Amino acid sequence: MGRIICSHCNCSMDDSSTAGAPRYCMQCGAPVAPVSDISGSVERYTFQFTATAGEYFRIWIVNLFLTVITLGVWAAWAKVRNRRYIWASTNLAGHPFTFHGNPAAILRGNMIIAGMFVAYVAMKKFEPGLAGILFFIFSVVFPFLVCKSLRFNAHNTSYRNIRFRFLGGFGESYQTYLLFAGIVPFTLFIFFPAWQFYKKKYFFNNLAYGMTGSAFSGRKGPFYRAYLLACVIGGLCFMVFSSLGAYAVHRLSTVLGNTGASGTLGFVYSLFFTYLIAAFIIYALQAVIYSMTMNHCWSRTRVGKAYFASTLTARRLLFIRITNMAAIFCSLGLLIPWAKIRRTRYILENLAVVTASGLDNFASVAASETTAVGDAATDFVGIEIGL
Amino acid sequence: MIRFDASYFDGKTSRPYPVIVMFDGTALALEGEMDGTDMKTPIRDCSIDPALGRTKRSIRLPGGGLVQTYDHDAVDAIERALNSNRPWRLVHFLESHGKAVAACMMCLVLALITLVYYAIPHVSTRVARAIPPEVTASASRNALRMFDMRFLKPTGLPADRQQEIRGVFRDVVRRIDPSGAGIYTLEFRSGKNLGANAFALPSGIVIVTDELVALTEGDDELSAIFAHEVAHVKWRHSIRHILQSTGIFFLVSLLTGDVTSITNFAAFLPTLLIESGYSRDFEREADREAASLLIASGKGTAPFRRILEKIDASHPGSLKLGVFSTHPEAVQRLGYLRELEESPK
Repeated sequence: MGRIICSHCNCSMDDSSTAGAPRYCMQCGAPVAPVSDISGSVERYTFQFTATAGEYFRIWIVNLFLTVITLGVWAAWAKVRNRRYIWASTNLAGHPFTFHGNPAAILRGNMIIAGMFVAYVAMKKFEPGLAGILFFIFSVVFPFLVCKSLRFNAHNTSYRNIRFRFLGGFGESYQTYLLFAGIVPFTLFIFFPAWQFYKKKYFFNNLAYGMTGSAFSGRKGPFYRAYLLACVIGGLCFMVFSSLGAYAVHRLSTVLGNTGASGTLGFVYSLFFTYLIAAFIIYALQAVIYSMTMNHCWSRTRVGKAYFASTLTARRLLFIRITNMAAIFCSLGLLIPWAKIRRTRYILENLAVVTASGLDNFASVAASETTAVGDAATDFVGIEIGL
Repeated sequence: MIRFDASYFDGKTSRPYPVIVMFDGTALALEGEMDGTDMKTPIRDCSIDPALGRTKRSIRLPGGGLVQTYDHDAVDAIERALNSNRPWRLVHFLESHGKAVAACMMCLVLALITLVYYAIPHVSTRVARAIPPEVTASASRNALRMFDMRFLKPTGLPADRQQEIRGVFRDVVRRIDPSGAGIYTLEFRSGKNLGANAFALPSGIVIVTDELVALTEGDDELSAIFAHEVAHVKWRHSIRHILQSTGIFFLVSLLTGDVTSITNFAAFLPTLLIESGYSRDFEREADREAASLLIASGKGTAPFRRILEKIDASHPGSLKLGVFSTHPEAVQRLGYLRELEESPK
């Protein structure tokens, strides 16, 4: 089976059509050239993830132990160790990625974040009136940290001895994470999918591998489609489950009579099941949004002459997420490494680089150092970036 | 002589060169088809990335070149000859030996138990003692305002009855916390939805509802309630609760790797369990203080038990959440008080 690339939108896709039949692009609907025109030179490199759950578990638990007995100081070293393992297990065309993050820089970042957190807790509990000021300071500092963090992670990642870079500036960061984030509530959240689009654009449009910068030609349409679909599914689920719930309560009260004894336990159980169903729905919506937007973003990203193809499906993401949560819960957390490896494997092995000119001709620039403050801040507030 | 296959990257382009690396004890020689084939580099100028699982080993050359190989034995031998990366070699040793991993796991469990049951409560108590109650003044005022708006109404007790009760309160404060007596004030409210209840704010405001006052027979029962609430303030339970929750939050963040996963069900549940456990410990401490006051004045814990039973009876159908509850169940509290009377601690 060959690969074809749409000349209109750069989307790449499997060629599953019979010979001679006309083909149309999955993304933009434009007619695409028959396979024979380009397939001769185009190559597809799928990411290979060679990590094993057993090996990662051992690295994870040893470093977790060291982190706990050093009261968190080792966390920076543990982070480098874990991330280096994940990066080194990610192979493209037979060669691994390398993470170069400096533990001391991450430690400095952790200390600043911890300080900010303590200040926040103290303010909130003892002087709640002033917590607003702190929130204001955080929201002004946050875009700065996002930018620093993206730079730190990109600069500290290399492949074939060439470092990645993140070229996004503070201006675009403040526009995306302060201005756009600030106006979202005033547009009744209609702007929300567009804001998510600008966040992704900030990441995908500013990457560089050595000298070769990325170009992002994504559009807001797929983001609106993804969030609209999520809203429709979420709304339907809410209606179905709330009417089912109301019916069940009605039936129970007429069958059992309103006895006090069943009330206490019944309340706890119903709370538990409501929570489970709510978690299931939220995970489903997240899976839909993640798969649709990430597939779109990767297919519209280009680094030099290298294109990407991401083939995630919401159903599989949801299945992995739910079984992961169940496994973590039942194993009292011991299966966290297994769950992480499993999800990362699925995402990476559904990502491929498609290029007609090979991977050997990227050139490097001299790398510069950045501190890790923003790196820890990004973990702290949970920004999901890239891979 | 050590000899192994590797990939060489010059650091200028992304092109890999297959090479054969030879190490004669002092220098690395690369043999391949790239420019400057007979490169020979003194090993002391190279750096070796620490080993990590079975992932590829990397040797960095002084000019920015990189040699990567799966031949772990060869690189381990060079590393030993160089005696470099010693701390990391220890970590790698722990990570790659089953027994060491098992030992780390056991020690981790022990460390967690020590932290949760001993270290965090102990350190919080120490720190809380250093924090003056005045820092909680504005937070307490806000809390009272919020309670007034949502749960409470002005009291309906006549002024002379209020005066009597204030006398009982002052007496309790004088006996439990004589050195800090100045900060305590008593407020009367009508309980509305809360019913018979009493609670203390960290700055020393104790609130008692009309419904609770109506339940009491005699001053001893009121004294028991006040002693319990004053003990909460005296022992800084709310500051300790904040400190201990923060400690648990940090611990859970360390365990799960990032803070956002605290919203996950899996991390949320143990956090809730530990925190409600702490809260029940505080209740027990306050009960103990109240019991010892009553026992010291020769009345035994009977008045306290009576009022607890009446309060419990006045809240029918309240949830029994067991391990998730912030207060021990009434039956347990009564049993504990009876125990204290028989063998006072």
